[in-house]
Amino acid sequence: MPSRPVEAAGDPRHLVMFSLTLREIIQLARQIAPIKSGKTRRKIAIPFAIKTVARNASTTYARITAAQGYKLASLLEPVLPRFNYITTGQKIGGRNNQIKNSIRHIGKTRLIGHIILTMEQAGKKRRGRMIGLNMAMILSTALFACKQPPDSRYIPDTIATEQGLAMMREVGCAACHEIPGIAWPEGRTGPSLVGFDDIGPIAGTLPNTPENLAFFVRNAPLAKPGSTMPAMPLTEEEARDVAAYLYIIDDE
Amino acid sequence: MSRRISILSTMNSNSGIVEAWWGWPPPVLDPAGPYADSVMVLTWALIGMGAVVTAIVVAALYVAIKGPERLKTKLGGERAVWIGGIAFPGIVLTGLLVWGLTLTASLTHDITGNEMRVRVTGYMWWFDVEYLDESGNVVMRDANELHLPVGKPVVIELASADVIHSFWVPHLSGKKDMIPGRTNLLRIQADKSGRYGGVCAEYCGGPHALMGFVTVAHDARGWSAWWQSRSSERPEAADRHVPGALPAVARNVSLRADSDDLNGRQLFMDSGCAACHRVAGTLANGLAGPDLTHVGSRLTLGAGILPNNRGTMIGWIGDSQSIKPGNRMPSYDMLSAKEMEAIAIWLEQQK
Repeated sequence: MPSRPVEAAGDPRHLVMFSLTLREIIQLARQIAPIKSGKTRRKIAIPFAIKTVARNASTTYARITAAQGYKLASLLEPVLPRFNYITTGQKIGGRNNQIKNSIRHIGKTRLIGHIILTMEQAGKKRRGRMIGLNMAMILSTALFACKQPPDSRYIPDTIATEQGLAMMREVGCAACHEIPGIAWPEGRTGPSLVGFDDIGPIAGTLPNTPENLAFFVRNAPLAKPGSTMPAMPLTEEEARDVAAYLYIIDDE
Repeated sequence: MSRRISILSTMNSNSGIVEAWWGWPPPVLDPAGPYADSVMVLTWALIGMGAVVTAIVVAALYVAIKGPERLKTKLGGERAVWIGGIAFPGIVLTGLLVWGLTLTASLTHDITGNEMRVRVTGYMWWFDVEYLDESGNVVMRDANELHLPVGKPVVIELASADVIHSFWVPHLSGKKDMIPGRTNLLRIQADKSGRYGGVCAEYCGGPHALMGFVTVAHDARGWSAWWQSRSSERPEAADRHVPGALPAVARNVSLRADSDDLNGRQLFMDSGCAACHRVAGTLANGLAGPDLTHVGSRLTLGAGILPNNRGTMIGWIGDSQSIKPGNRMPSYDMLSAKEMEAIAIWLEQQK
């Protein structure tokens, strides 16, 4: 009997902290140092190599919501200027020259994330460099708190995804779903799976975790009573491979 | 597997169509029986002759451009035209024709009584399969799947219900047209047990490319077991539909009263499925679509294109038009999830 899908109650693991390397802190400080303190609510974007901002997380998973940003900010409130958002993204167009220039500054890597700070009442006139370093120290612990819980920040390996796709062909998932990578058929009894990486809860119900997805594709009626999707002839391992493929479907 | 080309790469490995078109060596050069053997010999002979003729033409071209004057004159002379242009191709092609027809004559031998007989009727876009006894009476009906014993010649009586189709199992025999109003005979035989894909090899409109079937060759033991399982449970009533007549099966309603399947069966009858599909032992006696008496044990759905499981069955019932556009079954999207599932479960039980 397979275990029931995991119901994620809240998201307690979201604010996991871990520290930057010294080199990264200095780099971060150098980014922050030129920012003038004492201005109120000025938004400043600090670009950063995405590897540093989000480690091996994909851009999607490194994104945090405004609410989470606020939560993060409130942790820092007593210490230093507050920042509202931490975002990452690949495409940063011409509308923000500051960020654009910084992309050039970072040079080799096209992948950048950026931290948008809102400076608020930094108060005392300290030397910029010190503020930069102080903030970098704070960020070095707080910044990485914005990771998703480890098990949903999920980078499936290539073998799993290939086997997953092969299994989907084998059992005929495409009879009901349009699936990128499968040209025929494009069934419409079930929802299209284009852009599945950005989907919300699984089948609109279950928390979007790899275990839940694997459980759902294998035994949908148990995972979501009333679902049109029947149990599929997959082993638990095959179901995990199928879930792995679903997570790399990316329409961007 | 992952390197299959184009649309084939996206079809599942249960598909009769993929099995018929794909593989190495190519199915048409990989015979599994005597009839396919002679087709392969003919194929290689034609390829060989083609190579020889091409070589001769290339050599003549070389002589015509760069050869010595004496040969050029000869090549351009009337004699060369008579010999190379008329006599040589005339003799070679006539010889090949006679030899080829002799070689493959066994494929279309008349029925002698020692063979197994199966009538396969092409419909747009699926195959009706009827197993016949020696005198030509239907013993069992099936669709889109052909089972045969290893080592025994099988005469396929090819017919068509609408347009011209063509029956082709590349591993087992040549291809032969299914022509409305005619019965063509084609022999097939498998000497190795296994699964061999088949396709319709004559464009027949709409989803022609999705019209396939699976041939399964059983060894002696497998064959008797399979035949037993098919014939013991539900003896075939003589219930060929006569327009206007009461359905003969009404006398023979062996309702299997599992409370589980009652719902699915009822829905099948009430939703109109029975108007096109026959399920022996029930009131469903439609003949416009594939016979579903044994659908639960089939390897594929949709005429050799989808694997057969509950998911694909629901997908097919719910929106077959998105899977096989233009096929003659409407999408039953007015059914609820529960209803589709109940029908699929009941159909699964029709082994």
